[in-house]
Amino acid sequence: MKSRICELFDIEYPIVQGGMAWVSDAHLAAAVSEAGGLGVIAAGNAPGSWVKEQIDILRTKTDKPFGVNIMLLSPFKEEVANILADEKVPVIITGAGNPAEYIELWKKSGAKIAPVVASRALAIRMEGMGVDAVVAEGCEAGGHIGELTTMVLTPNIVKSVSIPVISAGGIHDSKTALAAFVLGADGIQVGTRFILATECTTHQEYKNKIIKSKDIDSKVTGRVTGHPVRLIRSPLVRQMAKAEYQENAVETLEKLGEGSLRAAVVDGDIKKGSFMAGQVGCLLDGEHSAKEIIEDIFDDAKFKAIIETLS
Amino acid sequence: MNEKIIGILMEQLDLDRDEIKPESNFVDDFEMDSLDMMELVIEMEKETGIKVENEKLVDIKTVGDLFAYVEGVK
Repeated sequence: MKSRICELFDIEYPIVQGGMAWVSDAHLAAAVSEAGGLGVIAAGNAPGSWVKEQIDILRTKTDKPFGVNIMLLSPFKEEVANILADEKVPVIITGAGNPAEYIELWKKSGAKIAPVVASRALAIRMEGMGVDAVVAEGCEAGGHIGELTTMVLTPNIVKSVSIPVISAGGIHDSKTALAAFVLGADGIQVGTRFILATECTTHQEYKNKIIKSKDIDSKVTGRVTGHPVRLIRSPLVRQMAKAEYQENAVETLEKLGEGSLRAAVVDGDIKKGSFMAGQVGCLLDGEHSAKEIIEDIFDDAKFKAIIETLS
Repeated sequence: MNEKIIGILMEQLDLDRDEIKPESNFVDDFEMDSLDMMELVIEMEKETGIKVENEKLVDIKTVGDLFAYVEGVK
């Protein structure tokens, strides 16, 4: 399967690996790029030096195109933004904020820019600023989420902009990928399934938690803070749910959340960790290499079989 | 039998053994909702073969209530 995204990012398959803070390092991103997708390093709240180091590691593992996801709420956004330009990172994906002030800088460096958007108006605004594509991320996704589902957000953005749309949230196999393309997407972004990639260095407890999770284990916390987060049920999530409707909810939630993603990804701490993952966790049952994951999703025989059942 | 139920709760909610007491309330202490209760009941049925009737489910509010119910139908 080929699409405008393959041409735009110079990749074999129209798939972008989700930029997941602490999870998406050079090892995972290189494996995805090497397998023909777009591997993405997530800058998260990390300093510029870490991002530079990851770019260097990735370049020792693959010479294929890759991306960096820059989180615009990061205290290090300025230095990271400059490093991305200096390093001539081929694709820059932005999240959690407005990238307006960096567009010119990144365009000059030759990068393709694709912000993650959670509404139609945001997508239109980004297109007006000259970005190359948008990632329409529905609330089935893990981590920070919006309110709209992939099923509604994707077609609404597709009909509102003319740049390529990458659909995200709930996409993990050939059926859901095909559904995204039917909705008009030019590409897909997959996050949670890549946590289970064998090349992903995330703690085994985190991977196990996804594998054993059931549908109702997917929870959203922090609606009261205005920054809702989807994660898997855990003792920390229970504490957060209790705090959400008590006095000083915002402060308490922030305190509980501090360092919790690192605790999950690096230490596999079941009690204190926040295990961010999309709703599809309940549908995933094992680890595979990035190459196997991509080839399983873009399996022409599977696409054909699905289409045949419809006719 | 009670230990089996405790084991299911520990697995489902990542709880420690000593956090589960007969007086523990599913909603207040474990933040469980009706869907979580359904998950617990299905898992219990699978593990122990004991079915919980729908009309009885609403009266089961604590771990002790569930123990008593299971004891009654054994």
